[in-house]
Amino acid sequence: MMAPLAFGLVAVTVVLHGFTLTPVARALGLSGGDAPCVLIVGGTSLGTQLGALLRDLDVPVVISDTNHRNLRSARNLGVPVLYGDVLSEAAEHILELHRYDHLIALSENEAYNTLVTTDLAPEFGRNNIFQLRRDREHSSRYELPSTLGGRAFFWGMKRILVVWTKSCWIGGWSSHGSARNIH
Amino acid sequence: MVVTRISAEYPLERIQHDRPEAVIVATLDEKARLKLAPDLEKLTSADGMRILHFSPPLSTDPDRQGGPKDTILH
Repeated sequence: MMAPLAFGLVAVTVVLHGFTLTPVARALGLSGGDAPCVLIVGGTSLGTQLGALLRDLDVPVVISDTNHRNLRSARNLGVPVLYGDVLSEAAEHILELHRYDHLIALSENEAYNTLVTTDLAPEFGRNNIFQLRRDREHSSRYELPSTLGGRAFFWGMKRILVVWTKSCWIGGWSSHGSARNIH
Repeated sequence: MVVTRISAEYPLERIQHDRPEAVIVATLDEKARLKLAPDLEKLTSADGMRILHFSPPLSTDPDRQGGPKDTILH
């Protein structure tokens, strides 16, 4: 008699918790909500612009950089920043990395982007970790094993510069900033 | 970088027509699901979806002047 009772009690507890935990956490303000949280590594112009846009769209975002000066623009735009190395133990405690769904490494240093995405891939999942596409990754001399680095975020800066320069040339563009703003 | 909202009156095809040079960086749908560039190969038009893209200013071509008011968000 005791065995079925114990089994029933466990089953009811598991089911009850499973269905009520999320709504209760939301009601108590302990849950991050449905919006995906994004961690951007690198306070470059690209990272700052993307962070500011995501923040404007109510997507929780933090930009991290080891260089205080690189975070100035983000701070001026009111985007949350973390000054320090995202790989440090302190950053892990401050940021509570489990809250984040996506990591995008956009620093100017390809090797650092690869290091960050490789190190944090197990925490985020390889599908949710991105880095700027490396300029020479298609060359066999520079190609890395698939276990290193993140998914290529999109064409590297060269592609953007080409697009912008081309449009500037063709479209008589003058007022929306310039390619020099992109690091 | 620009955010454009897709709607029935300003669908994805229209954006691509107005801004052929656009480099799409991410999309955010109405349920706040974020998709980043590598997952956008099969981008489909969905009402209310917001597209983050790198785009130069609109051309002077009068036929390519972007979406209606409140479509381009930032």
